[in-house]
Amino acid sequence: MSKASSDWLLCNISKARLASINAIMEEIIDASDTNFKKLALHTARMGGKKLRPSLYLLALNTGDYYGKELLTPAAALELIHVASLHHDDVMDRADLRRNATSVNAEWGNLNATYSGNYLFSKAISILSQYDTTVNQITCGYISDLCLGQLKEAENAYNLKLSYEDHIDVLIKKTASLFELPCKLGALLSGASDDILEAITNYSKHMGIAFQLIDDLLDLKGNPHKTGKTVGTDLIEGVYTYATLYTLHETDHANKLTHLLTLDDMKPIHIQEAIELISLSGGLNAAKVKAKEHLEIAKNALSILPDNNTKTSLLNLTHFILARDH
Amino acid sequence: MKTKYDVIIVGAGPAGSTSALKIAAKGYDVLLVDKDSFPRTKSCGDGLTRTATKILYDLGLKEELSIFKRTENTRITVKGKGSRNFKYPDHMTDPNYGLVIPRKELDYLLVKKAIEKGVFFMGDVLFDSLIYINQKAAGIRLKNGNTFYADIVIGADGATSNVAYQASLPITPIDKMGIGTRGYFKIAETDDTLQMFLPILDRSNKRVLPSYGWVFPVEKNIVNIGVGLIEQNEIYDIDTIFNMFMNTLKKKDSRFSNLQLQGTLMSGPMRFDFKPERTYAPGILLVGDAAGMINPFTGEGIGYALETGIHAANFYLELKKDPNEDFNDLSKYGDLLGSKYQGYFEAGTESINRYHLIWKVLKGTFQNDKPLFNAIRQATVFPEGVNESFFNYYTENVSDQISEHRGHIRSDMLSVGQGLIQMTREDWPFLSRLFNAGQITPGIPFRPSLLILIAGYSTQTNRNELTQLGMAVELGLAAAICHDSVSEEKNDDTTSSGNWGNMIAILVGDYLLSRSFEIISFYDQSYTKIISEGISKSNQGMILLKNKIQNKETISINDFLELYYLKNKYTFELCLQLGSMAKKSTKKETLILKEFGKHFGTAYFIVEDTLNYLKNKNTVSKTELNSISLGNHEMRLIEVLLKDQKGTPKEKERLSVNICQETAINEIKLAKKHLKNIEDIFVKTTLGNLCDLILEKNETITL
Repeated sequence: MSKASSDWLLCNISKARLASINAIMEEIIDASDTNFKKLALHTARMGGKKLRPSLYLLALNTGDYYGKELLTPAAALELIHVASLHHDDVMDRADLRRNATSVNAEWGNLNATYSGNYLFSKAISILSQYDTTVNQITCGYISDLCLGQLKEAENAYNLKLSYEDHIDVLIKKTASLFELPCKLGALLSGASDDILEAITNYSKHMGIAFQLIDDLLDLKGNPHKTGKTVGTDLIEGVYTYATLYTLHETDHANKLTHLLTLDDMKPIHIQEAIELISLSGGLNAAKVKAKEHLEIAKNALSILPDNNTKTSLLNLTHFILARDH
Repeated sequence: MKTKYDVIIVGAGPAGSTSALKIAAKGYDVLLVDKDSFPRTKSCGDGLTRTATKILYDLGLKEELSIFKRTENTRITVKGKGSRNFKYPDHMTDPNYGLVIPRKELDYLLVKKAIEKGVFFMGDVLFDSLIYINQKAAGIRLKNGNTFYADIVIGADGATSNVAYQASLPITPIDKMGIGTRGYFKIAETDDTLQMFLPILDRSNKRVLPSYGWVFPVEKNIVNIGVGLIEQNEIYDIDTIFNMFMNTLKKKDSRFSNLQLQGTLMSGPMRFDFKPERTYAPGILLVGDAAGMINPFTGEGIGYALETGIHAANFYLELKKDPNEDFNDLSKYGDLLGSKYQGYFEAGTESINRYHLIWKVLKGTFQNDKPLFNAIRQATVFPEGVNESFFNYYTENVSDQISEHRGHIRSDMLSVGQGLIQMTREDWPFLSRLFNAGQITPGIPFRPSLLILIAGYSTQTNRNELTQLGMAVELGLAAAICHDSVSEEKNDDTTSSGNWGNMIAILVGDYLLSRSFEIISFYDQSYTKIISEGISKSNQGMILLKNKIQNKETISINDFLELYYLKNKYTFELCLQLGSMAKKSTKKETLILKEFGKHFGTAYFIVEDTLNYLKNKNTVSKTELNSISLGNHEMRLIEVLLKDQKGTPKEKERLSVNICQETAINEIKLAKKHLKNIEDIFVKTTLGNLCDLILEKNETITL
């Protein structure tokens, strides 16, 4: 069941609102210098799944307030995501992003770093104009996000990384940018505390599942669709759930350890490592884990009224599981 | 035999003996016991840092130590990355060198000194257990059955401390500890250099083993060669690593091809699990190795042993002043060690991954002179030499320029620094080291956060809020230093597939920036607005200025200044605005201060950059420790001007420097024009004084 990017979004009003956030992003960026604007918006203009704004817009439906001013945070949330992509691409030395040239490849590492900072602080600036709670929640999650990335780097090449620490990194580095839009949407639309809690819980587990699947794609995805070389994580010492499963729980641990600690991992070694992980049930274990979290996410939504917001959120869990890029 | 003492110390190594003699010197009864009789030898590198040397001199051992080898240089070699020399900064007072003293001699000297001061020493006796009275350690029992009582027991019994074990303090199991091996070798000729080699890689050259090797000159013809391993692992034992290291040495340097081992190789466990809360228990203090005090990057431990020996002694002497003290709650000792050493060392097993990361960064950026990497290198391999490193600017003491509120400002500036250290310590203790390094200016440092305080004081302002604003801005500045350290290279160098430099620059920069926003989000959201706009503008300014320079366009002074204002918005201008808002000044006053800050900051940076340029233009040697910290130096006015001027290099330089000086004077003029409209006398006078300070500095610029 492979679906196009936003087929899961059944709520028409959210769809319509989502369509306008590109224009808002354009407005946010300073236009006094055309080259600067081109650089700053390069990644945002590529399109993309816009998962975070979509979640925010859906969460906005859970309360009974809506005002036009509540559209801007959707753009700000996307800018935070885009800012993190600018920085990620420098760290990953990625020349391509969504099958086009990345900012760092086109303008250099420093410009990509600075433009990431620019977008990020612009987004913070926008989100600071609502109220103190919104501001605090935003900054809290952002801080988690950065700490999560630092922790992930700390654990590079750590063959003994525990599941617990691994999942904790996922919660911080990925789930935080799922929780933030849902929480802000519910809060700004005046949803009840129960709903707020439910949708936050939903988004947290969605985020974990999203990253678990994303990490699986690194091991078995189609490079033409993902735009990434298979097995990059293995070379860079980022050992994700499937790899950890094989290392911690199976007879193939020694063989895999040997491959992972090779001086110069050639494509053939990567292929062999992935086959081992697959054979020993690692890939499957990661998928089972992702399904578990998606179940928790779905159950969290049970207190929401049945409508197309809820259906969309439920659809998203299927979309996450089925996605191939 | 006397059975009651004031203090009992188990272990007569450097930490134990130092504690013993410091306490005995004040007239208290001290019992010092050791499992060996002295002299005896120990597995150790025998290298003493400058601090260790100074402590020994202060203990009155200068004369006895004059026969030992002095070392003035430390040369660190990183596999595949070449070497760098590290020297103690010139401004350090005597001694300006370290020593190499075989442990056999050093420990014996200290024990003798302790006995001389009245310590009762018993060698060749084994500690058996602690004696408890009212749930507090009140004495010890020896294996031979003898018992002794005291106010406290100091555990100085090394990495496998039995005192710590008996006190039920959590300790690292021996197979998780580090380990070191050394031997003395005969060699043709030694020099005065401590040589460290790090890290040692595993055979695949892929995984960095947290390990290091050393060659220290002991005598004219004797060197101490050894290796240390922070974490034992399944694949390599210490002997294999020692052999790998010896082979490397032999291949590299012909002096080592024909080494003769004197005596035998000796190994010993090392612990790297310092945790403030496990350095004490009721009636117990731990010192030296027993407390896990070893630098994980270089294995240095004698200096920390001496220091903790002294801390424990002073701590006891202070408590003893109170006749009712029961020596039950000694937690303040843990706090003391925590504030002094966390960041150098950190908690054992969970931190090993952080060490791995720092090792990778250290290796990947060994020849990289960007400020972040200078700072990391110094904080890890040569912590005593830390002088400026992380912050290039903002080190001047401006106490004289501030007439009022001096006490408040000084203590609030200290709170800003302490706050930064405390905050980063929780998530990533290593970072607090970097901030520590920036805290060395005596008096009141001329930092941007100072301007928040100056603009913010009134009888109504909340000083805590000002301090938090200061912390937020300083975090943002530290983040900018990290981000400026990103390089255009894809890999750390041509021989490496690593990208650790850029990775750490971005990750740490992002982390600091996010923490800056988090702190401020607890206050009025208008602060977040101002700070985030400041950051976005200065990043925009950097992109615009950088690209203009790169495109080799001729840039007029006015165009340059417009972009420079934008780029520097985040520093002094922003701080004055924030301070003024915190004081609840009128919009008009805040605006005037902002305008003032724009020109003031610009003048400040132009003067500093010109001075730095002239100071460092002749520093070509990249291997010297104190070489310049390169940030975004191509964006300095002086560099921009140098490109455009015509004539001989000398003429070009003279012209460019002149223009810089004139521009700075003009900017101060503009700043002062705005200052006239400020009503608050304190703000007006202080900022006026700071303007004059910049002008004075500007006048000192000579070619």
